[in-house]
Amino acid sequence: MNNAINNNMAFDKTPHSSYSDEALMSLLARDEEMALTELVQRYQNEVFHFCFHYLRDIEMAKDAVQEVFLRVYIARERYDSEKKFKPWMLSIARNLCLNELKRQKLIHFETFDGYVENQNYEDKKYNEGIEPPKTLTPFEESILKERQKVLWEELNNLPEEAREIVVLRYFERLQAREMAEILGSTEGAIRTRLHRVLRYLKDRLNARGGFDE
Amino acid sequence: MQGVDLMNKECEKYRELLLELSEIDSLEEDLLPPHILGCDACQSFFKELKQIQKELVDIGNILNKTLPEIDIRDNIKNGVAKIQDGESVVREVVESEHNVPELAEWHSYIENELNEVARYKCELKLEKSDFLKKEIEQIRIIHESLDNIGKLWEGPQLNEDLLPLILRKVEQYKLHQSQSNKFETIEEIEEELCELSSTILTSIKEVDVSSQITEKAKQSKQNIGKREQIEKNLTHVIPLKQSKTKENDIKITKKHPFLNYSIPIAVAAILVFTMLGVYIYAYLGRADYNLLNNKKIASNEKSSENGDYDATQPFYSKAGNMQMDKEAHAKNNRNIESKRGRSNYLEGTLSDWSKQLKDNALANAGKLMRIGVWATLTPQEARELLQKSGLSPEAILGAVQFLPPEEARVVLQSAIDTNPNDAYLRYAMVQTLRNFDNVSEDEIYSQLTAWSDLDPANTLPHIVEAEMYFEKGEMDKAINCITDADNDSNYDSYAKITAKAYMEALLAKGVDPEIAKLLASASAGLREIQIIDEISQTLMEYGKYYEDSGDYNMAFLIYDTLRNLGMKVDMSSELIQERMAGLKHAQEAINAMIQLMNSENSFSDAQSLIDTTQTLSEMMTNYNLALDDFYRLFDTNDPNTIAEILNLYLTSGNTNINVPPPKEHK
Repeated sequence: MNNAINNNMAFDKTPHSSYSDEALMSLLARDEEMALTELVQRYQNEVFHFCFHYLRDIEMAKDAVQEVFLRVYIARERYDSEKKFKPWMLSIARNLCLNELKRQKLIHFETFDGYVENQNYEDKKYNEGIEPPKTLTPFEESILKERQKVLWEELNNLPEEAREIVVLRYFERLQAREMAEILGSTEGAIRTRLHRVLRYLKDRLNARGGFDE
Repeated sequence: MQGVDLMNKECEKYRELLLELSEIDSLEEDLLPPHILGCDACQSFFKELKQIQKELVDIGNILNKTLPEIDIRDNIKNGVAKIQDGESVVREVVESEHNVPELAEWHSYIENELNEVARYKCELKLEKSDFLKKEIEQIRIIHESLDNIGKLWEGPQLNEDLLPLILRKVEQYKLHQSQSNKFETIEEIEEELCELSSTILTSIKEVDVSSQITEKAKQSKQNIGKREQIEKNLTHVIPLKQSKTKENDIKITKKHPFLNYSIPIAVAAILVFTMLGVYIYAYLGRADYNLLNNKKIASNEKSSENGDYDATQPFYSKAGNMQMDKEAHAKNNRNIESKRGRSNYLEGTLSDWSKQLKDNALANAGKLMRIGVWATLTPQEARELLQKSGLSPEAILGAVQFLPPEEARVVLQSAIDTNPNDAYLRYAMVQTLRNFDNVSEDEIYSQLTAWSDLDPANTLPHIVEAEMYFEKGEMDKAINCITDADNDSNYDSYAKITAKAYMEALLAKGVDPEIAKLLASASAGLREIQIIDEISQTLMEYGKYYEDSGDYNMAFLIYDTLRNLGMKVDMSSELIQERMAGLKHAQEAINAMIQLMNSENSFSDAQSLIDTTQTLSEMMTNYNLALDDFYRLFDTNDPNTIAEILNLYLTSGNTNINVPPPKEHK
């Protein structure tokens, strides 16, 4: 799908485009609104994806994106330039999404079925998307794909907190340090939680013969 | 464990089953699965398991008997108490639960984020344990699988640029913020404008009842009631206030301190010019009318020979004739001065007008705002003033005028405690308490009684009390108060004291003395006029009520009380505005009485009232002619014209802020 907003090339090469996020926030604190424009152009896609993970609705996610940047603007003077901007912004987005979900009494991070459907799980396209190592035999390839299919199913059974951390790490591609800032935890705790989730999934796959050869 | 031989896979399952059973010591052999009964190894295992469990139970019993009892409940209680008291601090154990360094390290290993040394250490551990190696390998596979899934995942795309929407939201937020700030900062100003608007409008517009008022005044004076007039004129002042409070009726008088002299821009100019013209006498005796023809701005030189004040008759005593005999005036004034038995209200000279004040007044309406600023004290300024040492009693009373009712009450009570026999303080307290929504009736009536006792000849306390009873619907008590009021001979609203107190407060604030005098005299009597107007309206309403009910005697009594009140105000007050208000209401009452008499066909009595009315009308006409020239200011924006009119009163450089002696009338 063509994306109308391409962060890599669409926006003008203004001087602000060369500024760091933190520098832009400093400018915004001095009511330099071009800084906000730059930040929106840089991150609106990412924030949209992030909010979509929680809200699971495109329109709600769009509204959330607008609200996130409004809050960024409102909090411009309180922003600590010592901290990274992106995790700070995503923590705002997370809190906003969780509040919205509470307000609507929705259960966030519902099953990964939606992800599967979005990915046309049964579709050939999904299967083609996986690039198995060329050294594998066809049989090994089928094992690999079957394992991933089982993995998808087990992801549905994860507790909410575990699902959130899986999504942030593997779908939002965030690093442990960023996740720690967003979730208000420490880097060590985030890594521990990730390892426990992976170990849990490993045990589940073992129970289902996922690693049987 | 002895007797545990090699077991096949089947035996392992039953072994685990036996281990899971908790009641194994009481488990009968008959209930065991057939495999155990048939398998020597399993049966042996079962027996030995049973034996071990029995021995453990025996050990437990021995320990229970031999070990001393340790009651740690007190220790726990003490520990908890220390924590609650803050003696000891409990650290959060979140880290120990959620942050297991070993696990975090393995995850970093899987993510290839370790440095070489740490990675080597991990690989050594893996070499030492096949189990660990296998586990980490499987976890790595899971990690890579999830990583692939995440890379390939394509969520829904943002198919529109949200930047315009975001910027719009930001603009709306900024607009809302600015409006909120404006609301906070100007709300007090709006309230004060409301108060003063009502005060000024009633005082100026209600006075103008003569047929010879200017066109502009005619347009503004319609046949509508006073309250409607106020509300009509207030709508342009308080739209935001009404939208916020969603109230249609704004009780201006109850909301603010009993004296609030915040003067809006235009009204300040009108006030200054109006009162100047009325109160200046000296000019009339020595005015150089040639200057009027020359249209020069007044000089600062004193035209008086000796610089002292010479009383003159008001210029309006010669209706329509501005060319007066100088000598005749001087002689007349001296006679008047000698007859005058009471002290002047305020004396002073405005010998040197500040050029800035003139320029502001004449040239730029915007600069008149400074008059409003000079003429007021904010509540905070009033508080700061009251904290100053060496403040005169008048200045204290003046500062109290600008305090919120709650604070004014406290200061006044303190003053009353020190000066319990001061009638003015009692009056001020009554006015303050009437601005409270919830006040003890006993308290307010106590102050009223004290006030009346301290000023027995003053009709005003009785009238105020009657008004309060009318508002509560206690007609009998109200009528009694009216009867008492008729017996009083005097009317005193203490306008002089209030105005002087106001002046002292301005002086204490640091306002120029001449300007403070001017402002005080300009605004003197305004609040008192409002009191008269309110009382008058209440009496007229109830008079009409009784008239409509057919109780003509009561209606006549009420109208007559109002007539007497108006006459007393005219006779007693030293402020012309107050006197005019009194005369106006007396005329209203007489008109009502005439109408009542006509309806009862009592022509003879009506005739005397008609004669009285005619006299009153003549007096009102004279007064209004005096102010008519000032009303020309309403019609012109020409600074030269304003200068011309102002020049009439400032040429001499000497002014006397005083009131003509009351004239004797029927």
